[in-house]
Amino acid sequence: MTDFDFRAPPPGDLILRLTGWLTEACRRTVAVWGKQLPFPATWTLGRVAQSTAGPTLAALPADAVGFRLIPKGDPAAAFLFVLPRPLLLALLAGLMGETPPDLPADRDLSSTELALCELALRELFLGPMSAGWPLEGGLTVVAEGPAAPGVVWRLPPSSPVLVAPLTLTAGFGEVATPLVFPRAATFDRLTAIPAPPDPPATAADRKHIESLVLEMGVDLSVVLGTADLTLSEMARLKPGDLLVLRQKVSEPLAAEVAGAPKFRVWPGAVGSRAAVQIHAAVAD
Amino acid sequence: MSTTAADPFTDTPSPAAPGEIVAKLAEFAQLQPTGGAATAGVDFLRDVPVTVTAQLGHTVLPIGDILRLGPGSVVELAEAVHGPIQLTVRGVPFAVGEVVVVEDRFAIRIKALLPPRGGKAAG
Repeated sequence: MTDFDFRAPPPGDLILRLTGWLTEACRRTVAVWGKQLPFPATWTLGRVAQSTAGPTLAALPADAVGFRLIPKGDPAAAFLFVLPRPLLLALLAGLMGETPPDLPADRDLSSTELALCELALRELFLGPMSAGWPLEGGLTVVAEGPAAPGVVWRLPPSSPVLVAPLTLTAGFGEVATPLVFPRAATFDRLTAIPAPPDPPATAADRKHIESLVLEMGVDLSVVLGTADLTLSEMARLKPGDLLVLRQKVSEPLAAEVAGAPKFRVWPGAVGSRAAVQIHAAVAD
Repeated sequence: MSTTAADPFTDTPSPAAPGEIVAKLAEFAQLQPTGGAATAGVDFLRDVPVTVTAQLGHTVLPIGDILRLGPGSVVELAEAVHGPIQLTVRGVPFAVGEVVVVEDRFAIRIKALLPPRGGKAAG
């Protein structure tokens, strides 16, 4: 059992589904990148979080370039893929068989490099993302860019977004490559996938819970009897008065467990304490 | 016999054929208090019945112990055997007394009436 962290509540269903999809995409990059790049590299996903478009774009590094990725049939679902330009240069060099020891210095892309961008994006990222898409038919996107993220992808600053913090790790270090998603039907469809069923409780689980329940304390109270009065009669009660109950001394009393009558009992004492002896359990 | 309901969207009753019963939606006016102090005392409710409960005692037991109870089992209660018995109405205590027997029935001889709100007991 894990403690519940109220400062970081569990993610919603959509975040869980996005996380599942992108985790699978990251896993698929291992085989693809092993063939396409001459250096080892991995792509890993951090914790997907909710934010708004304005602060998210403002927090991107100055050398970042963005690609607007438009899912087929749902332009409102266009999402943003951000790469620092030095990383993009390193990946383009890798596609041409080079292994840069460090991230290249930031500079504008040459026309050849710009022409290779679409290939790099499709082979290295969009392919694994489409293959990992959990709905039938994969995810087909059209890419626009590269350009400044705020130019290629525009949303009102207060629009809610989901930010997937992806990190590319290679010999030149760790580089953030986030994806930013708007709320859109394409991604809402992810939540329609039936969740995997919870594993059935094991016999050990049931025994553990039963033992916990058996240790829980409940109130057992014994009613000596009841009497019906009118409010007028009750208002005239005074010390010394006798209130005769319906309960006959020759009949067992009612014992209630948490307010529900469960036993018939005989009154008595154990030492100086009041006590009762069980006569019978009350049938439901 | 057939009935014709009034149209709830237009407030226009559908025309009823001869012999049909027209059922209209009931309308309830919005009510506003118009002031006026209550004048009735407790006598106004003097014939209202209440059920007084006398509790012999109680204890708290683990569910496992309760499940093991059977005929002949003895359960010790938290209260002293000759301690005062509390009288309650719907869970609200209003008096304490001692257990006595009147003919073949249990009875409570009232020792003190409890104050309604933290005052001193009478008796």
